[in-house]
Parts: sequence; C-alpha cells; structure tokens
Amino acid sequence: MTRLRPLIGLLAAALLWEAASRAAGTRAMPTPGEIASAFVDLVLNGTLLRALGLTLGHTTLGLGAAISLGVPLGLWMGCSRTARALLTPTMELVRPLPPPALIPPAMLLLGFGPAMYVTVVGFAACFPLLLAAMDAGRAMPAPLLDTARSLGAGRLRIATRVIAPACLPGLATGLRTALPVALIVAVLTEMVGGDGAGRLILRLQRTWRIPEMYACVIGLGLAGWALAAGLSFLERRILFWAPAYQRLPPQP
Amino acid sequence: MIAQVGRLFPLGLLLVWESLCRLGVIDARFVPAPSAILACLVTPGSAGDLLDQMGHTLLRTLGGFVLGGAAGLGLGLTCGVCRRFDKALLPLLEILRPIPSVAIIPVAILFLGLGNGMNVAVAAFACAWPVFVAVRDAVRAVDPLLCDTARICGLTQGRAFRLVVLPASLPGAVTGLHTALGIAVAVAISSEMVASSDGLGHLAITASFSHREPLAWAAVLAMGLAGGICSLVFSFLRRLVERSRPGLLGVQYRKGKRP
Repeated sequence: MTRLRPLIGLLAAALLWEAASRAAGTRAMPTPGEIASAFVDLVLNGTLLRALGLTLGHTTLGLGAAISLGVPLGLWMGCSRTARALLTPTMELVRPLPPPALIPPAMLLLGFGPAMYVTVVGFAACFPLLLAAMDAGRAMPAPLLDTARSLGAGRLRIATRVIAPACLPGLATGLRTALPVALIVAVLTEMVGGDGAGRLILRLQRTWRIPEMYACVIGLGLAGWALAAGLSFLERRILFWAPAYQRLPPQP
Repeated sequence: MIAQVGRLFPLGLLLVWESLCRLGVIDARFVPAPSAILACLVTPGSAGDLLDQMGHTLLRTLGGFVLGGAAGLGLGLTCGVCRRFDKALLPLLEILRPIPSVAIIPVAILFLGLGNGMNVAVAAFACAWPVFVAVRDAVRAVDPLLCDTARICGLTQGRAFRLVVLPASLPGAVTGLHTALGIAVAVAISSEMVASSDGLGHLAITASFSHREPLAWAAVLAMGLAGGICSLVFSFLRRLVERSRPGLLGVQYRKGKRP
C-alpha cells in the first residue's frame, strides 16, 4: 500500500483532469486519453522525435560551448587573484543580463540558424558554470597545491592531476544548475527563431491541434527529465569518490 | 593597480567596439556603435518608450514573483511538514518540474489568452519551483533537536510550526526567493518575446525586425538594467531586515567572534 501511494497522486491528478475536461467541455482541455494517443501518434510519425532531437542538439552544443569557455575562465579567476581583479568588474556588469536578452543581438549578428541558437544557449549556461568553477577554484585546499609543488610536479601536471579532480564536484553542481537553463533558453530561441520543439509547440497551438500540443509539452518535460537523470547518473559514476556522492548511512 | 585596470576593462571594450564600428570592420547596420545606442537611450522619444516598456516588464516580473513565490512557499511548507502529502504529490511534481517553463507559454495562451495574465502566469510557474525546492529542503533540514525540544516543552503542533519550523527554514526560503527573482525577470521577458504586444522583450524583437537596431540594443541594455534593479532591491530589503532583526535570515558571525 505504501509503495502504491506515489501512484495515487498521479491517478488522482489524471482523474481530476479528466473530470475537469469533461465539465469544461472546451477543446482547450483534451482528456488524458486523447493526449496519450496524440503523443503516440507524434512519436510514431517521427515529428516529435525530430524536433526533440534538434532541441537537444542545440542544448548540448550550447552547453559544450559554455563548458569550454566558462570552466577554464572560471578556474583561472578562481586560482589567480590577478585574473579575478581584472575580470570581476566586467563579469558583474554582464551578469544581471537575463539570458533571453541575448536573443536580439544574436539574431542581428548571426541571423537565424544553429549558430545563433548555440550562441544564446552558450551564453545563458556560461554564468552558472563560470561562477561554480570560480568558487571551486577558490575553495581549493592550499596544502594540496603545496604538496604537489614540493613533490616536483610541473604546472601542467598540477592543473590536470590536482586542480581538475579537486574542482570536479563543484563543476558538477554548476552543470546541474546550467542544464535546465540551457534547455529553457534553447526552447525559447526556437520559439522566436525557426525550428525544433519550441517551433513545433507554437505551430501546433496556432493550428489548434491541442492534444498534439500537450503531447509536445510532455515530450519536452521527458527530455528535461532525461537530461537531468543522465547527468546525475554520470555524476555518480565519475564522482563516486567525492564525499557529497558517497552513500550516507541510514539516519536513525 | 590591477583592480584599476579591471575597472577600466569594460570601458576599453566599449572603445574597441566603437572604433571597430567607425572603421567599418563591424557592419554598423546590424551592430550599431555604442554611441548610437547611447544616443537612443538619451533621445526623449525612445527613452520614454523604453521606460514605459520597462515598467510593463517590471510589473509582470513582480506579479509572477509574488504569485509564484507564494505558491512555492505554501507547497514547500506543506510538503516539508507532511510526509504523506509529499509522497503522494511527488510523482506529479517530478513530471511537471522538468518541463521547460517557456514550453508552458502556448498552454497559458489557451487558457488566459494574450495579455498580462498570461505573462504573469508563466513567470509564476517558472519561479515557483526554486522556492518550492528550497523551502521543502529547508523544512526537512530543521534540526530534529529543535523539534524534540519544542515537543518536550509542550508546544502544540501549530505553535511548534509557527515558532520553530518557520523561523528555522526562513534562511533557506530567502535563498530560494532570490533565485526565483532572477528567473522571474528572465521568463517575463521570454514570454514577452514570444507572445505580447508590449514590454521590453516585445520591443527588442520588433525593433530588430523593423530595422531600428539601436533601439533593439538599447532594449537589451534596459533588460540588464531591469535584472540589476530587481537583484539590488532584493539585496537591499534583505539587508534592511537583517539590520533590524539580526539573525532572522541566518546565523551571523562578526569577524573574530566565531564561537
């Protein structure tokens, strides 16, 4: 019974939705059954998967750009006081800019296309990563560096064998924050621009194919869930040694 | 010395941008020089327009933040206190939470039509989540010792909730609210870009589609300003509360007085 309890909530929500859609009688609220069949249709004819593939592609490419730019910059700013003093004012000026604010400039500079989507997503995802990398770099225990240096490790060796592993848990936290931001901004740029799941949702709504639209929203939710789940799986596989990921003994 | 250079760094970037535009390296039709953007900010007509649209955006942000924050607080407190309710609701919330908030825009248009209500609802949906998660975790992390002490002292459940759980989870809630405010600004602007007839988001998109590039860039600048204003006001209020009620929003240590 206790194991079934989570299902009760879902079932109650579905029943409530069904009752509400019957009572309202508008086409704005199709029944769960209609949405499910629309979802299956969209998946089978490939529309949804193609759109989600595009969206996920933009998201991951943007994240990749953000990682390759934000992480080294953040680590540098975290480890070197000079870099921090040099770049902090600029960063503080750019940081309050909400992520969607970059869409119009990117549109003017790059036109519509994958380059623009990736740029905007990259910019939006860059800040959480940069801040996390900076914090991780600042929180580096000094004895680790000193030990490595006194054992005769070179700069490159220290960077790859000491700094990188020490900062990895912090970076994972940043990535976990950046992931939903990247997906949201990817969908938004697609809504303003041209293709992918964002465009698909808007088109379905404007052509009044409401069950399909809900199915697409659910598909995006599943994509977001899959991204988060995949990331946490990777974290547990790669960072099993970090204290934050070790399984705690059950609390009394 | 380096700090001075750092402070002058943005200015240097602007100078480089300006000179590149003047020299024709950057196409000034698409990327106007900073001076042109500044002129657009100072010209009475466009400045008034920008201020007006910024007012719309800020109002929507505030509306979404208040509604979403209240919803997140209520839901988070309930889920944190009542395990059974939490378990029943969890799968539903775990399905709703990963949906990118802008994907809700078409659904909101269906129910609320185009207009303020839709923008506010989308912003509220987006910023309810961080508050919910922060409050629920904060309530769960309340020291069991405190709760046990309250029970031993004979406090009823209602009083214990009001006097122990609520103050102990306040710092976590404030952190969640700060995150939510940034999200509210971003999502309000996003929803204006996709479906609205006013606001900064709408202004930036229409201006860039209608060859008024300086105005579009000025609108982007105004978005940054709106985000900055929200963050500053929140920090200011928080500091005000901290000064009048020390320790209310988290334990404070004076320098050198760590226990």
